[in-house]
Amino acid sequence: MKKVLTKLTTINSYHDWLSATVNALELSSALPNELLTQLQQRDYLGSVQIAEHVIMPHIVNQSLPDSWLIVSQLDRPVRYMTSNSITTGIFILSRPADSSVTDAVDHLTDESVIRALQDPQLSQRQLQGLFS
Amino acid sequence: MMTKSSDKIINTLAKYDRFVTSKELAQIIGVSTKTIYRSVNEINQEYHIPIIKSERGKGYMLDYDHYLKLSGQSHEESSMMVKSPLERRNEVITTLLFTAPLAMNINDVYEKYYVSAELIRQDLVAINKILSKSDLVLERNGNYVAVKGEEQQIRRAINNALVQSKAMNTESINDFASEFEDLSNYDNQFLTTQIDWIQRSLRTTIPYPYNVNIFSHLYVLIKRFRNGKVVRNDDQTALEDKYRQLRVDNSNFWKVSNAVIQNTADYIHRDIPEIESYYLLEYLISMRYNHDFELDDSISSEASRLADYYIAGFRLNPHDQKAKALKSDLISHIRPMYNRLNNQIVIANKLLDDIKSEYQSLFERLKSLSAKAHHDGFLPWNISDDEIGFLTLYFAKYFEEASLHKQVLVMCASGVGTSKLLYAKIHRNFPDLNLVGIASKSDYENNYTKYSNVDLIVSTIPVVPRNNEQVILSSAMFNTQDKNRLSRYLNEKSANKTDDN
Repeated sequence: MKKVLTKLTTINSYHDWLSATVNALELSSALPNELLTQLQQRDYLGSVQIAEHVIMPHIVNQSLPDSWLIVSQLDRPVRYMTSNSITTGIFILSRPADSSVTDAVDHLTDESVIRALQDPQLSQRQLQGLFS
Repeated sequence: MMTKSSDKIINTLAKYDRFVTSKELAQIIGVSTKTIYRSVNEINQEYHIPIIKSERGKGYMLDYDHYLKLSGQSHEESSMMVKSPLERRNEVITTLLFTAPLAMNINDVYEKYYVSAELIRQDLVAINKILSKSDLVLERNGNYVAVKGEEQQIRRAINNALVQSKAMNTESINDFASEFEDLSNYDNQFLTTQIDWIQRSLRTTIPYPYNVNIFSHLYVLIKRFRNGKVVRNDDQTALEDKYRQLRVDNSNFWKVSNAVIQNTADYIHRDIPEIESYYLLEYLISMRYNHDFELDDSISSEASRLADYYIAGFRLNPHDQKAKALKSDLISHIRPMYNRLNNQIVIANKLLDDIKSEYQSLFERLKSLSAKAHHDGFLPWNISDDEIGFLTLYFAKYFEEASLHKQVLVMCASGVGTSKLLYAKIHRNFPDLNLVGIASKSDYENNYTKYSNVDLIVSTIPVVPRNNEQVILSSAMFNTQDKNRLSRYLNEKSANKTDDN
């Protein structure tokens, strides 16, 4: 499973955020669009907000070459459903039955990890440490 | 009509020249904040114009000028003015009973209440009616009235009036004792020592409010004997026949009762007849103790039958371990309750208002079941709301514990995302809840027979139950609202589910 930290400064909406995150993966052919549709469909079912300023968009797709956990921090908050103050996204794009994803989500049940992921000073090395 | 709490609220607010929060008031008076809120509304309605101002975040303050103007009384007199007719009658009954069988001048009794002759007449009619329930009679001869009847009945009636009027605002024996202005420190110490002695002798503790009843009984006994107004019973032989079996059935309690009466006789330097040991024995066997005594008498089997009746009324499985524990709790309460009803002993339930509001449907259901039990011959008396309130607490405890044993499945769309976080958060907040696992919605829909034992699904997305489970939607954040919803849902559904069976 690949774990990536991104810090974005030009995002104005949740929709932009999803597109920027998925497109940055440089996946082939129609897969980015398929993932975006899946993420939007998940949102139709219900909110993926997991903390006051944090969302966790997540889907399972068997065409993915690998599973990804992308921690994405914004320099200014965007609106997501009823909240105007979302600044951190934990995007999980998982291959089916990937135990490394399950392990990573287990780490997210620790509220101190969720707090650490919102820290603007967070580095890629610290990110790896939080999930080790 | 204003309640006892209303009186205390006005008196407490009158002492503070500032806003007092409902929490502070509740702590000072010893009631819930809900009772404060309700009583303030009642007070303001009673006066037609609000005499208690309230401000959000600040609490309550008495508009004292307004209050005095409306009452038309001086500060000193105002505490009498706020007494409700019920409280006034209770005080008059107590005064007359303590003096019984001697007569009192009615004008002396009512002097401090500033009420009309017509109101006094109405009061006496009402008092006579109340006394007749205890086989006592109010005899009037011109301006003089006297209560006539057996000493035991007089004593019971005094004790019941004291417990009803004074124990409702107290939380301990010390609180209760402080309600009696004429109780000296020595008497208080003696009575408290006797309660301690009873507890040590029986190797148990007597919980509130039962300890208050024994305290009150002994207080009344001392006062009656000191004042020399005890009605002697001439027919001792008949009484001995009545009590012989009671003594045999309760030899342990009898020894304790006898010793306490002996101590009391020594303390007040009076001869106290043996019959008083029997009266006290009736109190001792009518109380709930913090651990049970092995008894195999006819009351135990009747209590068992009634407990079964209640359990069947709620359609609970009598063989279930939790239901068996509930039955044992109920028997422990019902057995002394039978003795209380048999001996006309009243227990004050100061939590009654809170119980009625918190467990409304449970309370109503038990009230209706109790009436039916009386009709069907399982319960020889109609029981009071106070007693039903106590029974409600046992069922509330059962349903709260039973709900924790429900099998709960946590669900989200994928089974790897929000459901995992929600699972951890539920477990942190409800550590005793039986969480059986996590599932994706599609896994559940395709393999629902695998989840046939599940009672409740907590899901971050909408799902249609396939096995008749209950479903509750929750945010993945599991915020306070989600927690409260799950908590309410668990308790209410457990109690209500028995309606649907």
